[in-house]
Amino acid sequence: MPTNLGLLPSDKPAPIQRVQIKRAVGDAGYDVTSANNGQWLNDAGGGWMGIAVTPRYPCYWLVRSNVMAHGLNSGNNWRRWDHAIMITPADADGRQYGFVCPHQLFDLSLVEWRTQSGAAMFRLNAGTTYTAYLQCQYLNPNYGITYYAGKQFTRIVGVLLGEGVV
Amino acid sequence: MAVALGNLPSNAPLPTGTVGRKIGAATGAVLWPQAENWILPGGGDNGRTRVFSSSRRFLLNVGASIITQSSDSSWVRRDYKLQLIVNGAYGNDLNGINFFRKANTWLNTSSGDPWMGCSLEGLFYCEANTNYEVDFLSAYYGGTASYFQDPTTYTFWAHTLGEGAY
Repeated sequence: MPTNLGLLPSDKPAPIQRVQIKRAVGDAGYDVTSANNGQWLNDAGGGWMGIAVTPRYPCYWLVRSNVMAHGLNSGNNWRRWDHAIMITPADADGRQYGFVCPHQLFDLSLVEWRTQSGAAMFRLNAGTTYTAYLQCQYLNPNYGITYYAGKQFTRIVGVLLGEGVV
Repeated sequence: MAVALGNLPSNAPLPTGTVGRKIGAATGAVLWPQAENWILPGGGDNGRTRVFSSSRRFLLNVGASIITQSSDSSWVRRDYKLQLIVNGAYGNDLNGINFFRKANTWLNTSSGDPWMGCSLEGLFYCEANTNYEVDFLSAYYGGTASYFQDPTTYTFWAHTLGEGAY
């Protein structure tokens, strides 16, 4: 619960830079094909990999991602799968895409799990509720991959910065 | 040294974090530069942050996320780094650190879609009343590779953290 500035103790530093974190809830692998392009990543608990904020002041929102995946045995070849950091509604600059992060994956029988991480920085208006989320952005047609929704491996983390000084 | 809220100046904003960021401003692949040259966002901009300075000691959190590829038929290594500038010249932070570096190794995949995400971040511990900037630079150079300038695939960011709390 936010506390008005006048009620904060004057003998302690200001509480700033609120953090949001969503880890996968359960432990499950999700098979993906190009038909899943545009879908949110599952959290393995019946929900999705997203975080939300309603800034009290204009500010920046630094959002980081961490996603682990491997290829399915579907072609004995390298394939590209992208996860994306997205925001809705679009931020103050009109951006919906934060960072599109390609994974370089091969059939699991030859190459094991690989983790990719990325970061995006959005500019937010005050008083609007924004949701940042992880999306299956792109996969080569004719190939398959699995991403893993596990609390140690899959997360999206946000921090509000520069509130009131943007 | 922590600064109590009641001792903060009333004629300046709360220290909620000063932010700088560069987003890709072009759309296209660019050859990986020789070591010690900027990884550029495009649009004529450089690969250096704004100046960060504070009347109190602070941490400077800096990071970069890009996508890269190789056109060679074998594994290729290319590094990049985030190099600290102190009062206009390369120098150390209060912990004696002057850069954070990441090694990236990837393969030209025969699928014709060999892009891979690369992400790096670090923390510099900065002195009060000193000007700091950070360069986003190529480091180790080998083989043929490129990175992609686009708003969705290039993010270079920095922000102050813990001002007056250290």
